[in-house]
Amino acid sequence: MTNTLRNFLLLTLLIVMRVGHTAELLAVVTDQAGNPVTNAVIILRSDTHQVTLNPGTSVIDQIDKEFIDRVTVVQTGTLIEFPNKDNIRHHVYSFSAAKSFELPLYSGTAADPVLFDKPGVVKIGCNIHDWMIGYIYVTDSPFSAITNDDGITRLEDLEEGVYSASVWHPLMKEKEESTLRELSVSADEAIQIDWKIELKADIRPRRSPVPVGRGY
Amino acid sequence: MSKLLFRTLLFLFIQQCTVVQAAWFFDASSELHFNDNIFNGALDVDVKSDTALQAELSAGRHWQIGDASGLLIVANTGLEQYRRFTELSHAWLGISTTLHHKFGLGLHAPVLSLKGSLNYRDSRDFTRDAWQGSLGLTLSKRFSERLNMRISYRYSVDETDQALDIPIVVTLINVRGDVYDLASQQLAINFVYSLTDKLALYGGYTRRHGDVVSSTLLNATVFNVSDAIAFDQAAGPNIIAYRLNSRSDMFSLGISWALDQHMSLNASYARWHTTTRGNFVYNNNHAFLSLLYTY
Repeated sequence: MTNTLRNFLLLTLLIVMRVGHTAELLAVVTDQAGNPVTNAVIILRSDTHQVTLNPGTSVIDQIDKEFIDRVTVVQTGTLIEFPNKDNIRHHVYSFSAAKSFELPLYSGTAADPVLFDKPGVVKIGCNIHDWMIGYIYVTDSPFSAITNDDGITRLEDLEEGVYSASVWHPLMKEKEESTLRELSVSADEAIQIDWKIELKADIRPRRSPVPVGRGY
Repeated sequence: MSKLLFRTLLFLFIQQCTVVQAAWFFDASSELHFNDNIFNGALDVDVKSDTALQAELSAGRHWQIGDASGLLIVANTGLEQYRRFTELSHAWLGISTTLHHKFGLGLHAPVLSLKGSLNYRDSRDFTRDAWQGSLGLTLSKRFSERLNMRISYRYSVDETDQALDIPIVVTLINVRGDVYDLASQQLAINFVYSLTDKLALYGGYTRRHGDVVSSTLLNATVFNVSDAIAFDQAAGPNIIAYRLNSRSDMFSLGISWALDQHMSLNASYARWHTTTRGNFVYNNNHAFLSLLYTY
């Protein structure tokens, strides 16, 4: 057996072993008009597996007076840093029940990262620039992802079993619970789920100028 | 004591200038403005309309003072060119400073700001050349992500370089020609309401008390009640400008379209209703079309 053949068989075996134990979920989210929905959070909760969280650290930047990314999903217990990459100071805060915090005016990197230790949605803002609004979805599940500009995301390496899947978006009219779907995942399977959700208008405090007080 | 205070303020100012937290900003605007009663005429014969094109540039620096307060210093300059009564065209150069404080944290916390400004207006009609000063206090509050409201008070003074007395008027009734020396105060309530992510309605109500200048063909009744009278060179020959104390009410409504995060296209309408001493009554209807840019 040549080396090439041996390597090919080894690779094939590895692929088969990997695929044999995992599956993939393709999630597609569209709005009421059929347009792709970006920044939708897809959450899978396992009903059959004991899950272990691996929270780690995450980063939400402040660039050109906006939170980047506008929507972030993290596991419970994650530490998030909020580096300010603008040449002015920001004052990040949240009043949300899942995490209430304040990072008073700072430039560069805030002194300490913030620990997100409770599941839920955390809405963040800047006290200087009212239009700066961001969302952190804190979850107890290790299986989560955010849709891209095409309204698509993938969850890979799912083990065989039963899951419940749901979608959340900051502008979603319905509650997350109403989007719940039960999935039975088999090995080697690639599943696609399509969600159609109804979105509210994206109203934020105006950043562009309004001529109030001018002209008289 | 005052020296110590001055040195402390100077030190703080220099310190703030050297840190990155002070941000430069730049605004530009151009506006087309129609006024159907440009000379505030109370009689039909005196009502004349005109359209002006205005361009303004302003640049300034913002210092964040602590977590809740800030200081803004802005220099601005602009031009306004009238189509019909070209002598009204003018340029200005000015400076303003605003101190603001936010009471609390979050979108809904109210903001109080104190603003002082000083401009010099250089008109083609030199009798209108004036120093213009104002001092104002504004309280603004956001009630939701859609609705922001503000209430403001402003005291304004215009001080002209020279008065053009009409000798016979001074001799007979002792009324001088400093018609463009004006003082007024106004209270306004304004709103901005976002209809969509791009469109916003804005408007408000203003009550103004103080001096106004109207122009008319020689008219004996104005001599009894006017504080100042002079020939109005911009309005035409044999037309006099007269200053009266007045009360005005103004309603305005406009729509603003966000072209991007820095620029907007705006159209608005405003109606002034003014009653002066001597019971002269006149209205002004204004229409504005403006393009604003802020960086």
